[in-house]
Amino acid sequence: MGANAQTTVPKFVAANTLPASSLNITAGTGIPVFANTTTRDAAFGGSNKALAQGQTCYLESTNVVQYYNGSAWATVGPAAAGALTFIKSQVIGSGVQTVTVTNAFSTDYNDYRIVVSNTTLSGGGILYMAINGSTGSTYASSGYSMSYTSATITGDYTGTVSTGFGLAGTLGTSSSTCTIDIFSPFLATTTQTVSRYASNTIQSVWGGYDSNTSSSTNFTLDINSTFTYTGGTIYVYGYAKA
Amino acid sequence: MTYQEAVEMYPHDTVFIQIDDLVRTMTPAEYEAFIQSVVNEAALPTS
Repeated sequence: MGANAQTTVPKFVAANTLPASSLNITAGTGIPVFANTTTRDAAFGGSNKALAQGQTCYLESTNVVQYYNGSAWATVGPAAAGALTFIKSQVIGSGVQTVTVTNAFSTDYNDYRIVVSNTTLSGGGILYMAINGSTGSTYASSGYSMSYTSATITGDYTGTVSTGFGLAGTLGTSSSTCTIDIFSPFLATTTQTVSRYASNTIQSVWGGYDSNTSSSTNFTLDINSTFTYTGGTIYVYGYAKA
Repeated sequence: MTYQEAVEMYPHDTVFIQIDDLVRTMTPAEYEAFIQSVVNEAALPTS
């Protein structure tokens, strides 16, 4: 409980003494401050202060300002945290074979969205992503690709490999963008990916699986090892757990 | 691709990797793994 938090809402009647401590907490905070909803409800539940429409408060537990609408407490703000929270970004260098992003996964989130934005690839093939806790040939992925000028769907698969999750196939070399959802990479369980890729000439949709249950914090992007990335940015976001 | 062909195609000082903001050449162990992956990938589907 913080220095401003209170547990009661005093009620003064004629001839009562108004102590400096009571006046100061009102003057200092403007609205009553409570540790959480339990102490808030207890403070307004007695005979001192009847809870009525228009009452406001601040909750330390969630750092929000609330008002009572006559039947329930409603939050004024700040707005609740978004469902997708930015974690970090990484600008991609010039002509690099692989790009590793460290400390992307943690206990804060179970599932993540990775965006690879506007990078140029030196050649096609399959785009892979490995996670650092996984070793051995435990990844398996498949997907399909379509060019923008043909109705033909081309299927691809990796088989069981150590290279990583397959994220996209039949890559274009122009400006390329990929979104990857990765599920449970930090948890001690199996991990899955769902990815979408688009360049100026082709698009691709893939899904992948890693049977290794080790926890990972980092990921590495690779293109069949022999092609390179130049430019663009990798963004990592976490999906809120609740 | 054979091991020697992979080494000739990708000399050590021409292969760069990036870890966060750092772009560098590979350590000997990393380069060995890279060359091995190039050799092995001949067996993988490449679209």
